[in-house]
Amino acid sequence: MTKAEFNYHAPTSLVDAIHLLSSGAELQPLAGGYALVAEISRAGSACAGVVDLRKVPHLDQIVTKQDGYLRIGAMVTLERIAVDASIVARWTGLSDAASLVGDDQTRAHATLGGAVAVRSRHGVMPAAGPNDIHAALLALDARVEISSSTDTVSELPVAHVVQDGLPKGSLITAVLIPALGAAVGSAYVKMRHPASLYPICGVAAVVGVAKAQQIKSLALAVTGATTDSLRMSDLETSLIGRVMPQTLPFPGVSIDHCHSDSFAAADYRQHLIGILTQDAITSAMSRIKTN
Amino acid sequence: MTKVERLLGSRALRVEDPAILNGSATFSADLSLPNMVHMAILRSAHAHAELVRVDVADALRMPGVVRVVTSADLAGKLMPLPCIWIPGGAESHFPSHPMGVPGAGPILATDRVRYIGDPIAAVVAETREQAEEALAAIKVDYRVLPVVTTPAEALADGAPRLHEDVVGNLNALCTYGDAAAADAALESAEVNIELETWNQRTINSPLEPRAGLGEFVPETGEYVFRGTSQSPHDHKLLLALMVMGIPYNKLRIISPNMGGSFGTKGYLYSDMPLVLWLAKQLGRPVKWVDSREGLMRSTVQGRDQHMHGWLAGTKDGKITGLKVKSLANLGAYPSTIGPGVATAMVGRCVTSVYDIAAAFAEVKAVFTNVVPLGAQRGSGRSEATHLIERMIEQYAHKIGMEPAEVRLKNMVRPDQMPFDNRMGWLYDTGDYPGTFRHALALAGYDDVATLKAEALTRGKLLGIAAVPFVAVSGVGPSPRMSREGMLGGTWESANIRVHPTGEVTVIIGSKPHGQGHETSFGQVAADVLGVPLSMVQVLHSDTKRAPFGQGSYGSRSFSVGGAAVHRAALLVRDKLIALAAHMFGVPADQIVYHAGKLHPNGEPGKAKTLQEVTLAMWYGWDLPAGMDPNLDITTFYDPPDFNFPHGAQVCIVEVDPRTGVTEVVKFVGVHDVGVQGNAMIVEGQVHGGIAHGIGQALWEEAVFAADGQLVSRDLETYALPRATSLPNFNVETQTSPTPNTPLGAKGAGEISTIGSPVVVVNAVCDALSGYGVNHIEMPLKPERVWRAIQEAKSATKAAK
Repeated sequence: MTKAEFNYHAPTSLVDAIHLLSSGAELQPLAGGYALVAEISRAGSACAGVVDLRKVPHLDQIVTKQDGYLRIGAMVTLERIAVDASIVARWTGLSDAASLVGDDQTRAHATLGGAVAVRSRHGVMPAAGPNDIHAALLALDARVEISSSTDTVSELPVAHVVQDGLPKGSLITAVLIPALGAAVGSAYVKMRHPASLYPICGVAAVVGVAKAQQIKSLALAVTGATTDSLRMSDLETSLIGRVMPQTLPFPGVSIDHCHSDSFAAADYRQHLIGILTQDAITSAMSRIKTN
Repeated sequence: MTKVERLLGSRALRVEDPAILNGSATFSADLSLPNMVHMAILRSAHAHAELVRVDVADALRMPGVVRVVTSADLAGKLMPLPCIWIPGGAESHFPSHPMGVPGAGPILATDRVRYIGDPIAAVVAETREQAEEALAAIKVDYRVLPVVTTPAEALADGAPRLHEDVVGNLNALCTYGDAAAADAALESAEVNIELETWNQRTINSPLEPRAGLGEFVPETGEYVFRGTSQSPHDHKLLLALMVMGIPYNKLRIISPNMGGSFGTKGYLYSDMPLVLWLAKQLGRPVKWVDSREGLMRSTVQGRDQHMHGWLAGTKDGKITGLKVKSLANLGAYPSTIGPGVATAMVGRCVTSVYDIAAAFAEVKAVFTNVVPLGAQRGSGRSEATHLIERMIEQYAHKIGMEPAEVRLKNMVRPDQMPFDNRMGWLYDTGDYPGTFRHALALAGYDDVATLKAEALTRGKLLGIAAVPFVAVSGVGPSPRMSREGMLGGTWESANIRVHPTGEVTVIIGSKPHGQGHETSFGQVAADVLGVPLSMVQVLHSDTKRAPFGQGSYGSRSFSVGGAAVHRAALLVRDKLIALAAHMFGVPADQIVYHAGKLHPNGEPGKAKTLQEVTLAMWYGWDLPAGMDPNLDITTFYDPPDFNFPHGAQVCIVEVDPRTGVTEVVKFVGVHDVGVQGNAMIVEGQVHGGIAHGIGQALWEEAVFAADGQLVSRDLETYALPRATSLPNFNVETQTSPTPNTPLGAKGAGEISTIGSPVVVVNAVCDALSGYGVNHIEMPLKPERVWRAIQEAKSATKAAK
């Protein structure tokens, strides 16, 4: 259903954008529009209008800061992230994830900020739903930069945003990703749903190795197979200090936390988590530059 | 001497494409008329319920709303939809219709809804958005009834009865072939194979959903329907005679460009009479455009045969008997021709390309609380082919014979043509084994061991399969279709007029929905008349302008409609020759007609052009005795029998056993559609059909919950094939002209859909044969493939 009445705003400054979003008028921020336009078209959306962010300046920059942090503006498209030379070289897991979102058209429009902010459209609120970018950012220990009406800029761990969404009236302005160490590699692997292209299961791995291929540090995040994207901390702990085993010591996520639907049942998704975790770790390790 | 390439069959570029590619082509949703209003339809929230109360008072007060109608407003004004295919020679039961034909459900639900697409009310408002928003303000009280979604449930004792007039929900019970002979063959067989398989329901997904714009012209009393229609003249007859009760010549149907159909837009739907009736009521044109979600819950769907097969054979690979029982899930109502498609097109096709001495098929069409079943590219034939090709694969494994050898051993040979398949079809022409061997060679079938070994080094299981197929096409001989139970003629027509300036206009009764009729039909006329394609214009799709015709369905348009064009063109040429003979003062058999010029034999220097002769006919100053002025000829063509295109496909897949993901890595096809109109268009049809078949094998699946709600309700939940998920297809052709059409053309629109699902499934089963997997149901979702492997593994373990 298309709504008959609809408000459209296109502010030209961040201050104006935040002002509109905190005006209490049930306005939604519009970035790439991929998720939002579909949501508005669905019956029952409470959206009274949109605040188009495309004219807000300075939100589309990718900067590597002096302390090694990567700062990606909220309006940077996933296609840019997929091909950006420094991201591909150093934060490969993120470029993997960006390159595996949707199709060419989606990636050309969809933005990082939108991908972080999006909530599930399948009626399982408040869960964030399957999200390649969430998994990659969780494994990379990313932080989300948020501006709000109180004129403050704050940073939240990405896990916080995935779990609880954004504070009302606030806007994502950037995503910050710490530098990875010298012997650290990252990867994201995915089995996609043939219709939605969302992950049936996606696993992100950030792996640091010591000599003799011993795992020194490990971050693992899963999406799609679980209702929300989450870190697999127990599995991380159990593998640190070991050489990557042929099979995982235990499933990364208990079956109770695995999602089930007409396309893939929980036990199959749990199986996939194991397979894709191994693939993600192997891929991440293969990217570590051995000097 | 330079060789003149014949226009017929050449890869001429489609004349339709420039307008479609630059965006100027008009589709139904683009249509607009002054003072137009918009309609939206409220569809049932439940799959089965009594309608206790429908309250439209609040909706009437919504902004922009002009009118809201329910069934009460239509009483005595519009008759129910008709069904015009009563499965022939069989027991069949339908809801009633005042004209004595089978009924297919009321225009708007009266006291009961039977599926989630059942229309309850229509809102008309100033804008589409206002009409759609007002739907939410209609209050409907339902008393929910028990739901049946499968034929087995619907046939069970105590199942809820959907239609008062239909006991036990059984629409039709049809039998084909010789039951006693088949049973005897099964009993005495050396080897028996039994398989139960569900050819799953798929959702027809043309790019463009259905749409309609109704107009009433008070000055002439004429209704005009502009919108999606595969069969404008047929729709006109059904609407005028069986729904609206108006004179045939007071309804005009104009169907603009259509973005595909796959069979769906030849059916009659409630929205068509509604926009016309409301247009007269309101004195304003009324437009309706469906959404994707609306299409998925209310436009006819495909396949959905629950099949049970028994195959008998010898230990050395000779098939001796075949028995098939199938339950067709007809959905809530008999769609326009749904019951016939679901029965005859399956039952008469179960033996496929094989010479099987004893065969029998029984098909029961059953009402359930899901979306009505209709045609889908390849319907019936694809399901029948899937069953026998799965069983032959299992048979070959059981007797330890190479599956391709078993197929060749049982295939109908060219020297047996014409071949009575014992189920009601007379196969016309074709070298089935030759086509099959051609496909095997093209695919490198014999070298697959090397490929399998290489794939294994990458952790992949490679599988291969080859499948032959045949598809009854060219619907059809009208008397034969009558015996099959169709209420209607199935001939086709063409009008050709040559303008006094020499250009040729061809007007066809048939109607394209993307197939390129303007190009390939133009090629037929241009070829006969020896003029460039640019001089031929093909018109269609307006019942006020076109000769009576039938439409595009059943792979008939070119083979049957093209024949009408061919006939008309030959008559035009004959008349040109007759006048030229008169002008030159020689007998007609002394006139040479070449490249659009006519001259007396041996005197090319005297040649007159087609334009000169046509202008003489226009002037009419000096015509031979008995000749009327002008060059304007209409022909009708009813073929003596169907035609039977055939083909063979080979598929190579790779399966990842860890995840169950299947990738089609190679797909080869050889198709024989007889004489072609345009080789590029046929190739496009073949590519589309292969993609369609791979889609059913791997992804497509209409999922209904137990309560009759559609789970796969949009394109995020219903998977269609994507270009990026398919390999490049390698296709070649064979040509065996049919004697059943003057051009020798056979149907081309559906043939590549017939075998393409099962060749993928057989290839996956081959890949997994090492585990002992011998069957997997479609679609081959990764989870399903993975489970088949796990189950086979644990069965092997248990056996040890």
